[in-house]
Amino acid sequence: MRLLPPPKYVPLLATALVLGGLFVAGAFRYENFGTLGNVLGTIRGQAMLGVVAIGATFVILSGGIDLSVGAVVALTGMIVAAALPSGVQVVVPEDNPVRQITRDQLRQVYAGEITNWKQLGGPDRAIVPVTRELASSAHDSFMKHVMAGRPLADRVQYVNDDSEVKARVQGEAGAIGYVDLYYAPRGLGRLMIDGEHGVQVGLNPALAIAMALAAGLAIGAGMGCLIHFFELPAFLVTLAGMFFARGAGFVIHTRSIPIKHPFFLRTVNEDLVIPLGGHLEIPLAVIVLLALLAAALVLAHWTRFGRNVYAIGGSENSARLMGLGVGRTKILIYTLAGLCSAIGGVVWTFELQSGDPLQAGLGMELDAIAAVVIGGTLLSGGVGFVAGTLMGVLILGLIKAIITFENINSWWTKIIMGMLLLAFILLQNFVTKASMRRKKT
Amino acid sequence: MNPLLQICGLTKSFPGVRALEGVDFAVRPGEVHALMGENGAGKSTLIKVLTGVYGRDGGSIELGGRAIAPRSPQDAEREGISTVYQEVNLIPELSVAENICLGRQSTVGGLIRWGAIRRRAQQALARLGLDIDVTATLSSYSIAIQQMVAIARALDVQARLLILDEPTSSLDEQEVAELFAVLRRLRDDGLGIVFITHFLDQVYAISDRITVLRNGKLVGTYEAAGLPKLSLIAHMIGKDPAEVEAMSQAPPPPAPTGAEAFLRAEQLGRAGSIAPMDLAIHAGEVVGLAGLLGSGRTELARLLFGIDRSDTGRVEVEGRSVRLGHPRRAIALGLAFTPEDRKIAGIIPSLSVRENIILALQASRGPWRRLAASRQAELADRFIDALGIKTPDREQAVANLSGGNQQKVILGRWLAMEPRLLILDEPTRGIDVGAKAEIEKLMANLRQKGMAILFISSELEEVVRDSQRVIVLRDRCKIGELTGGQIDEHAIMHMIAGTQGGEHG
Amino acid sequence: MPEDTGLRTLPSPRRLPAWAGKLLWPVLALALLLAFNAVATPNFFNLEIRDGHLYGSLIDILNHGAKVMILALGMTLVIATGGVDLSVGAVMAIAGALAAMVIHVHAWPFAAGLALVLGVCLLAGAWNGMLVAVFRVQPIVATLILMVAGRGVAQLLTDGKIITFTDPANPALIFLGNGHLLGLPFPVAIVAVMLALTVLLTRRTALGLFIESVGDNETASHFSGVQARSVKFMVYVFSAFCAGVAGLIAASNIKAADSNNAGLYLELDAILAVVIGGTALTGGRFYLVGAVIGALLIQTLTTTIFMRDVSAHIIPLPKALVIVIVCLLQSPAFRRKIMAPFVRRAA
Repeated sequence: MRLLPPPKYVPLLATALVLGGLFVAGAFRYENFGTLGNVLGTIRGQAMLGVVAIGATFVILSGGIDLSVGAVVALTGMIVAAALPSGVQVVVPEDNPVRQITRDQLRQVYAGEITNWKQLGGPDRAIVPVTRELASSAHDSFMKHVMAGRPLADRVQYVNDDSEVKARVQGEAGAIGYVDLYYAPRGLGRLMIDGEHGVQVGLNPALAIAMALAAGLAIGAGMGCLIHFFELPAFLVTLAGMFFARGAGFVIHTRSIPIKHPFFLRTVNEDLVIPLGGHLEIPLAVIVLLALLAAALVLAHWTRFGRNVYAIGGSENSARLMGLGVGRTKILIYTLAGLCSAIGGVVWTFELQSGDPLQAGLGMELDAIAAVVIGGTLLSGGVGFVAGTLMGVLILGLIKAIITFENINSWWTKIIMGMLLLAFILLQNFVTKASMRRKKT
Repeated sequence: MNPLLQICGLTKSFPGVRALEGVDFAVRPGEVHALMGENGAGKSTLIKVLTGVYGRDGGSIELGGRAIAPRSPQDAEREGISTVYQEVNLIPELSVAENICLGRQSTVGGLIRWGAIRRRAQQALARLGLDIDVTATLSSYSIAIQQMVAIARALDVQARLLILDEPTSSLDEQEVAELFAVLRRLRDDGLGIVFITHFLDQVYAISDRITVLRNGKLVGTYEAAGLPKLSLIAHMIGKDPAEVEAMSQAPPPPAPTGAEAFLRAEQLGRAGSIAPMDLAIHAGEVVGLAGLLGSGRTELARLLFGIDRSDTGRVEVEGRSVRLGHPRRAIALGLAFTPEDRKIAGIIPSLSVRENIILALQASRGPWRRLAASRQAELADRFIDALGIKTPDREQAVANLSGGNQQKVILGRWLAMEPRLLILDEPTRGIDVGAKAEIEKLMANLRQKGMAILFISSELEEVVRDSQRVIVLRDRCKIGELTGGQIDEHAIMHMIAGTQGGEHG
Repeated sequence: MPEDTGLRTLPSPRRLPAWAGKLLWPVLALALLLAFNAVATPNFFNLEIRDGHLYGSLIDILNHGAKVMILALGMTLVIATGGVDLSVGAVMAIAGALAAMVIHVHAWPFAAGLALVLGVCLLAGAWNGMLVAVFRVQPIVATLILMVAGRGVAQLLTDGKIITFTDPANPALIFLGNGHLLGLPFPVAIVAVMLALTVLLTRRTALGLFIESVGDNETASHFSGVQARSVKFMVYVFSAFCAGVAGLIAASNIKAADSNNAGLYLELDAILAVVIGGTALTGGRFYLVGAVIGALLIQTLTTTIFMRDVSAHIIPLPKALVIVIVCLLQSPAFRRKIMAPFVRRAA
């Protein structure tokens, strides 16, 4: 008579029970907890972690560990934010007939060499150049791409933000100013510069995202190579990867970079969603998570690569003797994890419309490991489930939601997470021992 | 008949060791060919070169008349050479079907066809006459079945040569018989089978021809039917057959003194490990434990030393009832134990010879009463001298010593404790003949000084030569005890084989 | 010396002891970095005496490096047993939070507060030790639990607030991280005492031998009568004790208990210091002085970058390079595959 499922399914079953229990308890206790809106919100809040944890699942299944995931999220988010077009648009009062200017002319205006609109084909009116404050990104961009190293003339007026530029330009007939590329210049005339809408540098969103994904792939592959070719411990290599990615994020920019590109502001939130009627919709982050989950399930259970991952985690030595291409598989595993982290970074830019070298992915490496373990994957490798990881991620999300509903302090999240980790690790221990005992007799 | 596999002049060196020197080896299709030799003879190096784990330094390998140079086990598999290793090298947590097809699953558009894999696994096992649920995890089956699965996996590619590296060491008699039936069937299919084992009987039961290696060199290849067992042993240990004949008929050592036993166990046993048995070991006596690997020899030693806990029986040391259950307690009672697997359970590899020698003594004193540096040096030097440990100096890391010298370091560790009972589990495994002789001489010396010794060895001849009393184990049970003049190899072998005949001689 | 009295056939060459060989690389790297600063960073080696206290970049390095040096002592022993302790940062946060609460908020006498804080840290270590030694949970995982939950506990203690204790009512607590002894910052004195104690504790007793033997081969040690479990338990307790001391210094340094940021990522610096110092992550031989030099190397690198007016945020980048280089130099596979041709040519 067999009442219990095979030992390796026990942790997964426990995970499902915890998930279901938490949800039912929450739904009974709080109004609105069980609503579709709250469920979607919880999944959305955990989407980034979910994406990253799926990559971590493969690493842990193979018996490895990846500490770099959070930092790679930050770096790739920074890459997207920094690679998107940035720059300025040049504005004049609406009644100014001049609508065309070349970049050289613009430089001469601000250098004090062109001083009258007549010289630009307009009315005989003195030009009053207005500039954004020093150290603003618009100012930096203008100095770099327009002034090309020449200083501003003394009579250029400084103002402190785009709306001040607007006010100043609207109130001064001869004024010329520039605002951020993404500022809506309503009530102002915009000058075409060399036939374009502004001075801008950058890639279109698809290319920027591709660049970020490539960076994640490259970091993952690099770590995988170090681990395989030089037999270095994954723990240390991915620790170095974490330091490297964090540092590199700060090299791109030391502060958070806001994203104002319409693709991220509008397209992502309005067009690339699945409406469910009413106010409800499945946001892009969740679509990405579910698509990645489906791909990962297929990869883990229906491809040779996936089965090799399990085999390596079960016994690396046997896998080697079976000729399973252990080295290649290991490099691919870390590459895949790097890619997942990069997707996590891209999801961050979808969700938060910025790149942040400091806050993005902070502590995510541990959350990901916790989610994987709670999801029933053995930390020693060889046994585990991609679907379980999603459950682990959702459990963490439900705990956060309950803590919000209870209105208690957020640090309880950490303590409860620690206790859950402990419970699952002890359960794994117990199960492993039980199955070993079974094998002996 | 043209040979299937033809190896000529194979040479392979490792830093400081000449592992293979100009070895010739040939296997015909449709034969079981035993590869014999003591540990260190070069068998495993030969296999590893053949399967592409190691490269070779010289010589040629031809399979089916074509020169091959496998660079990985997978490469070798593609050439038609498959290997089954001693420890089942499969993935215990994956299913049987998956273990058979791993790495060569049939796919459609990159996706695995699980149905096809199950059918293929069933077919592969059917070829071995096995019908089991292939979707169950491998670890839910016995070692014998796992072994069969490993063979099925090896045959699943178009194998022409099957290498079995000590496949029988964890199998019981019935299972061995089943395995042999499978091997005969495969042989009749025209497969070439290379069979490595330490069990001489099995060699004669299954092999057509026997090749003997010694110290990396070829001794010779013989028809099994025409090679007496004694000659085979002689070839393996590099002695004259006549000399071996004399050795096995050497006069038995003196019988033990009839004094009070140092250690007496009654109905000592542990479920799943060893059936309850009685045992007595006297001071000044070497008790040999004979039996095949897996017969319960090591399990008994582990019980006595408190590594595993007994669940039946009682133990008396010098007439006082004691509870064992932890090595520290056993050590405090005057027991010492050199384990079978030196690397896993014996040496502390990166620590020095000195530290390895004083470790047990220091452990018995606890952390706070540290042995003075001068005393440590003196102890280390004393045992380096007394045991003839070859090391540049006492601060050398033990990992840099040869196997025999490592074994002596472990002996030194225990002799420093001045134990009353020394349990030696395979002390001579994997070390050179010279060191073996020294260790046997040492045992005799210690016995004469009044130490009790429990001696475990797979080399029957050693057990016979060195013991005053021999306890014979089979299938985790004590099946008999021989003393003095009764002790001889034939008697023991008959007891192990279960054919009565122990009373002759 | 009773040396060379035996009949050993091989000559006994005069070799440097193993620890000297292991110290070579970190010391060399530290010397190189200092030499670079001597040339490239003005005033790097300047020392001045104000109010009888020494000031200068070198003193800063010692002072700021103190926390990681202390953590590295405990971490060395843990790593020597083949484990790792990820929880030290969280334990630092607990120590700081608890000290601020009992000594500052509840105005306990300093000695009583200190005893309570260190006592709680020992308990935290015992928790880790129990999971590893008794329940046999992998060390990374076992200490991960406290790493995650510990910071929550620290926040719970301070109610999630940063507690500052600038008022002079707590001179002893403030002295810990800001006082001076013999002209040197007090944390440096703590490091010196802790290092000396740890060396004595491990090398004048047999604890060091037991730790190394357990880390190198636990089964063989167990069979030889070494109490492997107790040894493992003890190193985690000691590591948490070190973390407690480092946590007190960290809180004292900034005169505040910041549960969110105290000791954040310092566990990784400590592990890095230990590995630079020559102790292998797989356990076995350990080098306490090497770990301290490793911590100094990390701090010197950090200070160098600070003094070169580069954004402090970039510090992880060179650290990553150091980890990779150190790992590669210690990797047998790297030596075999990459270095071998050079070594052979040199020989």
